[in-house]
Order: sequence, then C-alpha cells, then structure tokens
Amino acid sequence: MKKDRKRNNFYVVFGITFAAIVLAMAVSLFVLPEKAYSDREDRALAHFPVFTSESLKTGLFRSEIEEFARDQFVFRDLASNIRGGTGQILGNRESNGIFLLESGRMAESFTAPDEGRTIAFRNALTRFAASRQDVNLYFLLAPTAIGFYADELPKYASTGDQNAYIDEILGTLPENVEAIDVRAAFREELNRTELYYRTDPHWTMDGARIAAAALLLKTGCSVRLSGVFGKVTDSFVGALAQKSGFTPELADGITVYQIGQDPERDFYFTVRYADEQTESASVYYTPALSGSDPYQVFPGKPTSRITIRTSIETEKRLLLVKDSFANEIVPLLLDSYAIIEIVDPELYQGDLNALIEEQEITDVVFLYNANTLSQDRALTELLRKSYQKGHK
Amino acid sequence: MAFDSLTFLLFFLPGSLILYYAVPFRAKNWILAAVSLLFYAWGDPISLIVLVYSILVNYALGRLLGARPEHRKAVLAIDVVLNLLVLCFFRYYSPVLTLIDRLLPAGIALRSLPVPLGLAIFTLQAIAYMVDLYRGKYPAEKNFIRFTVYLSCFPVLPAGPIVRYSEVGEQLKAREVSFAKLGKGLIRFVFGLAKKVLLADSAAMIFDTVRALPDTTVLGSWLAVLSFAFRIYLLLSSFSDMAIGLLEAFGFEIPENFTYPYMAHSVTNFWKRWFNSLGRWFGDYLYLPCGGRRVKILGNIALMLLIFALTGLFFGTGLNYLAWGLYFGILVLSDRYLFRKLKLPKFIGAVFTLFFVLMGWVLFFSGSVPEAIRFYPALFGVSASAADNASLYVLLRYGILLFLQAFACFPLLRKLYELLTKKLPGRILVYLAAAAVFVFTLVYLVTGTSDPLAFFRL
Repeated sequence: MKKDRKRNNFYVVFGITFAAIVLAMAVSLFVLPEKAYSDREDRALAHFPVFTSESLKTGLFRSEIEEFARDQFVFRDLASNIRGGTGQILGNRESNGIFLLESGRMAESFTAPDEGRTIAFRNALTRFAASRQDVNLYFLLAPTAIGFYADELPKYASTGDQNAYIDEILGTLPENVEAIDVRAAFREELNRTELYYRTDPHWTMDGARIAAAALLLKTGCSVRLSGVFGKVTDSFVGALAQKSGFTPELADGITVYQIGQDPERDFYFTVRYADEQTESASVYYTPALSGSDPYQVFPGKPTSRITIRTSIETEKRLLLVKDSFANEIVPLLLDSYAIIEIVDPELYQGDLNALIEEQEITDVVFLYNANTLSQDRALTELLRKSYQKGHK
Repeated sequence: MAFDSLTFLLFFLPGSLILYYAVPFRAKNWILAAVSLLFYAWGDPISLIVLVYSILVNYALGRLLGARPEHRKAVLAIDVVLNLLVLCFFRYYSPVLTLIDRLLPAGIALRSLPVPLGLAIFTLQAIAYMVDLYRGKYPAEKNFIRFTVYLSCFPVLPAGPIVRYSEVGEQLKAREVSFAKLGKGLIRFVFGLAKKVLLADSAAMIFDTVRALPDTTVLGSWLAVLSFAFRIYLLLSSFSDMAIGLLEAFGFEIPENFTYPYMAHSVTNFWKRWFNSLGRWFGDYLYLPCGGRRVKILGNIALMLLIFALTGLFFGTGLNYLAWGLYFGILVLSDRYLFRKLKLPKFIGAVFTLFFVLMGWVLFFSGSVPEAIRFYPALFGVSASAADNASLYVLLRYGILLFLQAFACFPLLRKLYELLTKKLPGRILVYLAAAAVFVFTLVYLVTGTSDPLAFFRL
C-alpha cells in the first residue's frame, strides 16, 4: 500500500508538471510577441489565423492554426538545432539533401533534371539567342562543391553527376552563345584555397574571383582588380547548416572586395534597386553583417533588377541574368563596365529585349550554378516571354 | 485533429483536461462528450453528421430493444444492417464507382468521398453494444450523454482499440478520477506519442526511401519488409498506447490492444497479441454466434476464412488486404490442424511465425496481389543482386534507427519501466526519461512532418 502510495505520488508529480509545462508553452504562443520572419529559413512566419465560417468549412483555419503553433513555437530555432544534432549523433550524414562530408564541409547533393526541363530550357535559350545576334551572349554554368568533393561523400552515398550535366549544357549551347567553363581553373586552385563556403552553397570570394577573371577574359575585358579584399566576419554559418541542422565544426569567414569611390581616379558608381526605388553608393548591404544572415551583405535581399552605373569610359555594358551565385562576382566587375544591369529571373517580370535596347547592352551573361539551373523554370520562362514579346 | 499535432498537444488536450478536472463528477461525462464531438468535428465537420447519426440510431434502437424484448431479434437485425450499410457505403463508395466507371463505356463523374474518421471503430462498438444488450449482459443505456461518450470517445476513434460497452459501462457511471491516474495516463500517452513521432514516422521514412531505390536487391527488399513491419506495428500500437493513456487520464481503464505480437510463438498466438480487440470482437460477435468450434471441420474452415477475410478488409478495401486476411486465415487453420501437432519448441515457432508475418506484410504494403507476387522473389535473390551501394547506404544511414525501432517492438523497455518505478531513484529516472522523450517528440513535431494515419483509415 505504501509502495502504491509512493508510486501514485510519482504519477501525481508527473501529471501536474507535464500539464503545467504544456500549458506554459500554449500560453507563450499568445503572450510573447509574434515573430514575423525567420532569417534562418528565409520566409515569413504564420500568424494567428482569422476565423471565418469559410475558413472553418474549407479546413483552412485548422491548417493555419497548426502552422501558427509550429512557426511561433517558443523554442523553434532550438528545436531545429536539436534535430540536426540528434541526426548527427545517430550517424546520419545526410539531411534535407545536404551531405556532411568527411572533412566537415557541407555540400548540397545534385539532382539531374528531367529531360523535359532541359529541352524546354535549351529551346527557350536557342530562340532567344537566335533573335539577339546583335549582342555577345555568354553562359557561365558554375559547379557547386559537390562537383569537386564527391569523393568525400558518406560511404555508399551517391549524388547525380553534376559534371556530366555541365558538359551537356555547355556543350549544346546555341552557336552564338559562348560557354564560360571555370572547372579547370577551380581544380587548379582547389587545394590552395577555399573556393566554397563550408556551411553555405555559394562560392567564396576566392571562387568568385576565379569566375570573374574567366568571365572578364571571355568577354574581352581586362582583369582589373584595383580594390581591396578584406574579411568582414569570421562567424558566418550558412544556409546549408541552417537547412540540414548539422552543427559545423568551424564557422565560415566572409571576404568582400571593396572597390571604393575614388575621385582621384575619377571612379565612382551608383547602384539603383528597382523594387525599392532606392540608390546606394555601395554594392554591399553592410547591416546584414550584424544580422542572422551575413551573406546578405552581397547585394542585399532578393530584388528583381539592379542597375549599376560606373564612371568607367567604355562601350562595354553588361546584362547579367543570374542566380545568387552572381552576387559575389558583381563587385569584381565594376572596373570593366559602364553599366551593369542585374536581373533575377525569379522576380523580374520585364522584357530582356527592352532592357538590352534601353541600356544599349553589349554583353549578356547568364550566370547560374548547376544545382539551381537543373531545377529552374524561371530562366526558361523569362527567355520564352522575352522572345515572344520581341516577336509580337 | 491528430494526436501528434501541436493543436492537440498545446490547445485541445490541456483545455479538455482542465475543464474535465474542474467540474464535479456529474458533469464530467458532459465535458467528455463535448470535447469528443469537437475533436471529431475539428478533423472533418461533415463526418460529424455520420457520427451523430450513429449515436442517435444506436441509442434509439438500444432503448427500443430494451423496451420491447419481444421484438429483440428484429431490432437487432435492423441495427446491424443499418450500421453495416453506413460502413460499407463509405468504405466501398469510391472503389465500386471506380470499378463501374472502368466497365461502363460512359464515364461517371466521380466524387471521392472521404471515409469518416474511426467509422469502423465506432460501428463495431455500436454493434457490440447492441449484441451484448440482446444477450442480456446489461440493460439499455438510458443516459444519452453516457452513450455518446461510449460511442464517440475521442481517444479511440483514430485507431482503436475497439471498446466494448461491457468494459466501460460501469465506469461511465462511476470511476476513479485522480491526479495519480492523470499522471499515469499521461506518461503512457507521452511514451505512445514518442513511439509514433520518433519511431513509427522514421520507419515510414525509411520504407519510402527504400521503395524509391532504383534497383531491386535482396538487401533493399528486406529493408522494405522490416521497415514496414516496424512502421505498422509502431504506428498502430502507439495509437493504442495514446488511447489507453488518455482514457486513463480521464479515469477509464480498458484492456491492452497489442502485446508484443512479434514475440508470438505461433500464428494463432500472433492474433491474440495483434490488435486483439478486433480479434475478440470477431470471436464474440461472429465466430461464436456461428457455432465456433462446434461446427464441423469444413464449416469451421469456411468460418475462419470469412473472419480473416473481414479482418483484412477492416484494414483496407483493396484486394491485397483481402488476400492478406485470407493468407492469415490459411495459416491459422494450418496452425490448428497441422503445426500444433508438430509440437515445435517455442523459439522455433517464434522464428517461423515472424517469418510468416513478415511475408504477410508484403501483401499488405503492395498495391495489389500481382505486385506482391512480383516482390517476393527478390527477397530470396531471384532476379536481384544481393546489395548495391544505394541499399547499403540506406542500411548504414539508418541502421541505428532500425535497431531502435526493432528494440521498441519487444518488451524490454516496458519491463525496465515497471522495475524502475518500484523505487524512488528509478521513478526519478523514468520522470527524466519521459521529459527527455517529450522534448525530442516536440522537436520533431515542430520541425517535421508526420506520417498520416490516413494511409489507411479505420
């Protein structure tokens, strides 16, 4: 009887504390201020839903309240860290398509696209290129880390053949589109310097420097790097770590290339962000360095179009149609072009032909990384729409 | 609403428990009925109509059967027919229309009709109530609220157990409601929830990963079978654990539904351990009324095959479920008339039983019988290599998880729990373990997606 009473006391303690903890977590959802955005996941967070009879009938209210509870859960970020860490402890070295390689580097796996997507892209590019024989067209398809570190994959793990994909794309470009292939140059430098972040999918400033040199040479520019390279942070934990939940052994450092406004040289530039309708004298967004995603220091948050005008006296005017890999390259190109138009096909709804004519563009460079291009529809769509608008 | 959702854990459960414990005993059944109907309506408001219909019809016919004993047989027959009509209508509406649409030249505009949550559960509970009432086990339940609680009690609706009125009737009138029972029930609930979220869902993920491998290998095939075996047991038994735990928190005690079926020493023994509330239901309401063992051998065989066919169809409407049920019917009959005479040692019996059970799961997870037949040879190396990098990678990547899932299929943890809770230091350890397990469960709930029970709706 005494034993039963003691056991019962234990159950009472458990019951009361469990109920109290759960109640506290529930109350915190309403008492603490709602978070609007997750820098870690780069998305807006759900708020408490509006109750309507329609939303109840369709089930929207039910799903939204669940989303609200997940997104506003008081220990959400800690939960992500615990989950990733637990996976690592259990020996899991792959999470959400990201591998934790032997060296501690993280790399996103490559998935070859389906043939239909590649054909659609190729057709759209071919038609667009055929209609623009008046400008120089280039395609820089950048490899990602998985293209060079596949031998560090966990035992028996496999990933798509990124090199074969790059060969296929660059080898079947339209005649008037020149390929810019940086792989050989990367291989030469791979053991000397970090070309890719260990915790982020992007290339480092060293990788961007090699790619920029290749781009400039191909487009007939001289490689003029009159600025200064400088490290701005040593504690960058990138998107791969956030997405996978893996705890990195070491944080990354971010180096920027600072080309300053120089009245002695009569060199200056302005950067105009079309979406925000703002202008800046810097290509960097320095407040990001003290935020949760320092990588945003490279041309800021996603924007559909950026126009950079420099004081360089040249007829060379660049249109850069790009994914996020181009962000670190842009500062390295300022010395070489009078105008650099940067377009993000994910957001840009305009007409490339109109832009080319408006700014008297001489060189169009498509700059994508292989992982993004393999899953992309936005570039194909932009090329297709631009071609259609030009042929109305 | 699912047990493994934050809506349930953070809003519904605390709210229900607070209300339930705050009111005097005479109001507790009202609260339980209200929250059960709310739980049901939250998931699928339209299906609430079906549940309310079932409550009203069975309550009324039960009262009628009690009031007019001379018409007992007719009332019972009407009740059973009405219940089965509703069950068969929702279960077979889509498959039958699909079949007709294939056979007829003109296409029928199909509207898929979702099966109301727990339809089979509350239908079988209703029939059990009426049959036992007919047999004179108890008087008709006159209290409408008590009857509503019996039929709609939310902890059992998602996946059982099937509760008999004889098991809970007296408890509906008087039961011990205490913080000790609350705590004991919540511990069971927490461990059941963890079993579902941490183990069953990961088994589902492993199964899906293996099934998506491009090439068929022996290793890959066995990984599929094992991960599915873990998945289905851990999923169903976790829901039973959560149901039993929640009912205990509300003061009820019901029998166990799963008792480590993978330890069974014979196929017959397996079916006493696997979802045994269903086996007992068929035994009491079909097998015995049809004569049971008193029937001659051929009749007995036919009856057993019918019962197991229905058992298969309880879990799903496809022909593969029917085949799965019949497969076990044949095995149980073989056990009864052949294997038992061999008097094999229990260990050998357990190995064979596990093998047969695993082979049975192939029928269960295959979309069709031909697909299952195509799957079997690969398990034994026919037209399949031993292993490839992809299957080896799955084994390496998920080996520890698979081990933990296997471990959870056996009673070691349960025995450890019972041993530890005898003394204070052990109880503290259990408390901390439950807390840690709950934290991990929350982590996975907040950051992940769960394996929906809707891959089969009971």
